Amino acid sequence: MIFNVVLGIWVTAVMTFGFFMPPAIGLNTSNIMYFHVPMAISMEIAFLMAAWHGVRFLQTRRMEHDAHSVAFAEVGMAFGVIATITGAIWAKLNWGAYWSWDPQQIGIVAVLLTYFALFALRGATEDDEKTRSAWAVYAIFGVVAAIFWTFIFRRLPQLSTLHPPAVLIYSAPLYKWALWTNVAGFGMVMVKLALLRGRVQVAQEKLKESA
Amino acid sequence: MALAIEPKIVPVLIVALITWGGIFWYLLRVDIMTRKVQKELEQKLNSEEPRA
Repeated sequence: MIFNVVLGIWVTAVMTFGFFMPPAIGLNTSNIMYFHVPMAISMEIAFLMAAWHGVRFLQTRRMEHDAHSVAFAEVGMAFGVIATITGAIWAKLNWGAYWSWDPQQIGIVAVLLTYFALFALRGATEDDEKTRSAWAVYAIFGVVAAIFWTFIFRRLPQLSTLHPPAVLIYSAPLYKWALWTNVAGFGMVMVKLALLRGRVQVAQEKLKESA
Repeated sequence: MALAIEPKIVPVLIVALITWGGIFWYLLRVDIMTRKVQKELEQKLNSEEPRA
C-alpha cells in the first residue's frame, strides 16, 4: 500500500511539473506528450509482456502465465485507448483537427481492432485448455501486429506522416528527463495493474478448482 | 529555461489529472480486491487442510 501511495504522489508530481515545462523544439503545444507518450510506450510494453507470458505458457502449460498474458493484453488495450484519445487532443492542438487519418492514427486503430478481435476469438471457445493454447498464439501474433502498425507502417515509403519522429531524442535535457520520469511512472502503473489483475484471475481459478 | 503554464492548457492539465486519478483509483481498487480474494483463498485452503 505504501508503494501505491508513493507511486500516486510521484506520477501526479512529475505529470503536473510537465505542464509547466516549455514546449519541445518544433512542437507548438507539447505538454500532453507527458501523458500520451508514456501511455503509448506502456501499451507496447504491455503487449510485449502478454506475448512473453504466452510463450511461457506454451513452454510450461502453467495457468498463471495465461492469466498474466490476458491481464497484460487487457491493460495494454486500456492504455492504448488513452494514448489514442490524448493523441487526438494533441493533434487538435498541433494539426488543427482531432482526427485526420494520419498513418499513425490508422496504425493505433488497427492495433486496437486487432486486440478486440483476439479477445473475441478467446471468448468464442469453451474448452479451457484449447482457449489458453490459442490465446498464447494470439498474444504472439498481436505483438507482431502492434510493432508493425505502430513502428513500421507510418515509415513505409509510400506514406507520409505528420507524427513527430523523435520527441524523446531531440528535446532539451530537462524536457527529456521529465518525459522519461513520466514514462517510468506510467510503465510501473501498467505493470502493477496487470500483475494485480493476473493474480486475481489466478486466485479465482484456484477457488473455482477447490470448490 | 523558464517554467510557466499557459492559461489555455490549464483545462488539459485538469483532464490529464482526472484521467490519472481514474487510473490510480482503479489500481487501488484492484489491489484491495486482490488482497480480499487471496485472503478468501487462504481461508478456504486452510479449512480444507485438516480434513485432508
